[in-house]
This record gives sequence, C-alpha cells and structure tokens, in this order.
Amino acid sequence: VEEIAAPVWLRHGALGLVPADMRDAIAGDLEEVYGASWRYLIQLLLVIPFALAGRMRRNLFLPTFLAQAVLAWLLFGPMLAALLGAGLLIFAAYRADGAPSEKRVVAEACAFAYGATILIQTATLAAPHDWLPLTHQRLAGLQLFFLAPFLLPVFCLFGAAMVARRGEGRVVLPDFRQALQNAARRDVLGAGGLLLVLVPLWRDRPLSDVTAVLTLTNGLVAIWLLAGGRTAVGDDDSGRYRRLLQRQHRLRGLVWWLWGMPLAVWMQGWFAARGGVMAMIGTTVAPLLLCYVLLAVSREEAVALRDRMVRLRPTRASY
Amino acid sequence: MGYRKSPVVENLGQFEQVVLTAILALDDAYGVTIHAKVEALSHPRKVARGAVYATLDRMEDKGLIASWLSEPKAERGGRARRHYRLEKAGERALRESARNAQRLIDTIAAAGLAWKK
Repeated sequence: VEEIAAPVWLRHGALGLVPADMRDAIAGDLEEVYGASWRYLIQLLLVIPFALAGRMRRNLFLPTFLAQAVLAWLLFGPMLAALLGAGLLIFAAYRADGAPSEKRVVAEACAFAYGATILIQTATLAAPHDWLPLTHQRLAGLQLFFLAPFLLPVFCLFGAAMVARRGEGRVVLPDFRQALQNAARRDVLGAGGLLLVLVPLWRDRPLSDVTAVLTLTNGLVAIWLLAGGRTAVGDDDSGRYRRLLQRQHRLRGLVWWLWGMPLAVWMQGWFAARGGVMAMIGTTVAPLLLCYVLLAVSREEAVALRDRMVRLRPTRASY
Repeated sequence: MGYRKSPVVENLGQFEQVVLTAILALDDAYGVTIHAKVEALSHPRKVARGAVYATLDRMEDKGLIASWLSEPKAERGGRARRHYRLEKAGERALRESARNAQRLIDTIAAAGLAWKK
C-alpha cells in the first residue's frame, strides 16, 4: 500500500528543527526507510528531542550555564529565569561550531541577559500591575529599569571566572617575569580605581537599590582583582601566564564597564523621569550606546594585547 | 618503585553495549543498519531511532567510535550517510563489558539456575 506523501513544506520545516550538522545523516536515513511519507515526518519529529538533547550536552558549558541560571533566578524570579535558561539551552543545541570559546560564552550571556531585561521592561510597561504579577513584585523592589546594565558585568564576571579554568597550550615568553609583575601592578591599580568609583557612589546614593547593586558589583571585581584574579608573580608556568594575561584583558574590559556605570545611571535616570515610551526607549538605547563605546575601548585594548603577545615570540617549553 | 598504569576503560551503559555490539557486527554501519541491528539485539523491545542517534553522538564524544560522511546517494534523496566504526577505546570497553557479562553468566550457571529455552 502506497503511503500518502507528507507536504514538502512540513517536512522541510520539521527538518529545520534538527541541528545542522546532524540534518543530512538523519534526513537521509529516514528517506531511505520511509520515503516522503507521513511516517517519515512522524519519525523525524520523534528524533528531534533526542538530537537536541545530544547537542545541548555537547555544546553547553555547564558551570557557566548554572551561574547564569542562578543569577537570573535571584534577579528575575523563577518564571523569567526559566525562560532565560530555556533560551540558552536551545541556543546551545543549535550552535553549529561545537563548544563555544570563552569570548562567545560571555557575549552570549550578556546578550541573553539584556534580551530578557528588555522583554521584562516592555511587559512591565505594557501592563504594569496585572501582568507577570509574581515577577513584577520582585522587579519593583529592585528597580529593574536601572538594573539592566548591571547584569551584564555580573554575567561577564562569572563568565570570565569560569572560562579562566580552561586549559591553554604551554608556551614560554622571554620576559615572562617582568610581564607578570606589570600585570600584578595593573591589578592593584584597577582595584584601586574601582574603589575610587565606589566611594562617591556610596556617599551620594543617587538611587538606593542601584547603588547597592553597583557597590556589590564593584566590590566583587575589586576583591577578585586583589585576591583570586590577581596574577601570581611567582608563577613559573608560562602557559598559565598567557591564560592569565587573557583573563586580565577580560577583567579590564569589565572594569571599563564599571567606570562607565555612573554615566549609565545618570542617563537612565534622566530618561526614566520622562516616563512612558520615552523611558522605555531611553532605558533600552542608552545602555546599548554605552555598551558600544565601552566595547570599542575594550577592542582597542585587545588589539594592543595581541600585538604584545606577538612581540613576545613564543617558543616551546623545554620541561 | 614505579608501576605501570593500565589504560582507562570506559564503563558502558547497557544500551551503549548494544549499540557498540551492533557496530562491531555490521560491515556497513550507519544510522539505518545500526538501528535495525540494535532492534534485533534488543528484541522484543522497540528502540527509538532518536535514542540510537543520541547514543552514537555521546560515544563519539567519548572517543569510543569514529564517524565519517559518505558521498550523497540518490536513494537517500541526495543525502550523505554517516558511517561509524569502533575505535580502540571502544573495543577495549566492549571487551571489558563482555568479560563482566561472562562472569555473571558463569556465576548464575554455577548457582544452578537453568536457562529457559
């Protein structure tokens, strides 16, 4: 008995849900067994959850994901944390290039945090009192309009802390010790600069919740720079040095971000005072503009770092 | 005095053992033939096709099997086949699992439990 063929658009639509690198093999197998029938389509739909689960397992960097999930839960409450988590999981499943680089992990965490924040902002403005009742209560207390840019550095910090544990190739750099000492000095200067930003913020208290979050974030980074994140001068493993140097760069990007925070607070406050649509556009666009400027500065630093790494011509370790 | 460290043998789950055995037994191991063989080995249990793909994926990550794509074929709607073969680690793991299973069989037989035909 000849089976009726499933519509082409439906088959292609379902096939689009299979991660790209598995698509050819799975579709070919099903075509070979069932032809272009409804059974092909049903089998394809049954295969998709397994394919997605497999790709999630392969592509997800679990420590970073858990850190993001916990932070999102603390800040947004369970409902939106679940939304954010599901988004990150699905994104991991469809990633074509395997496990992401550290840069991608941080960038994606930021993008998802920001996306979720804009979603809540829009939802809260659309129906401030009767939509998302549970989450809204939490958000009102935290003044979410002002929290958006602060989430990004927090995620960055966690991302940088997690990815720093990944291994790197071992190389020897000729002025290794000198470079380490310089990096350590910059750590202390960075932490000092953060403390300088912290003190006036704490004294002036422009917005109490914002100040608290900003203080906490600044404090965390300062502690990180002075303790765990600080480059150890006595370290003689040059591969580790290279890794630390890259992490330093990431953290310095984060410090740039934090130094820009007072400006972000002022801009958001100014826009929010206008109310309504103006507040929504302003609180969304202003941090994005600031984000662009800070990323541009950070990119300049990245180029300088790369030049330096090239000048410190690596040779193979002899031990 | 130093000692020679034995190579690490991956502990296999029951389904992984079946899938590895299917690949070992097949001359031309790819999705369709592996699924058919796994169903035959698991009879009377039905096996979801997706579970086979997920297990193949996982075992490839563990380095137990390797895969490669063939040329596209007309009977597959112009799509390629993903072929699989056992790696050394996979052979070792399967041999170890078979040894464990043999020990169980021997123990059961020694205890006098008759096999049901």
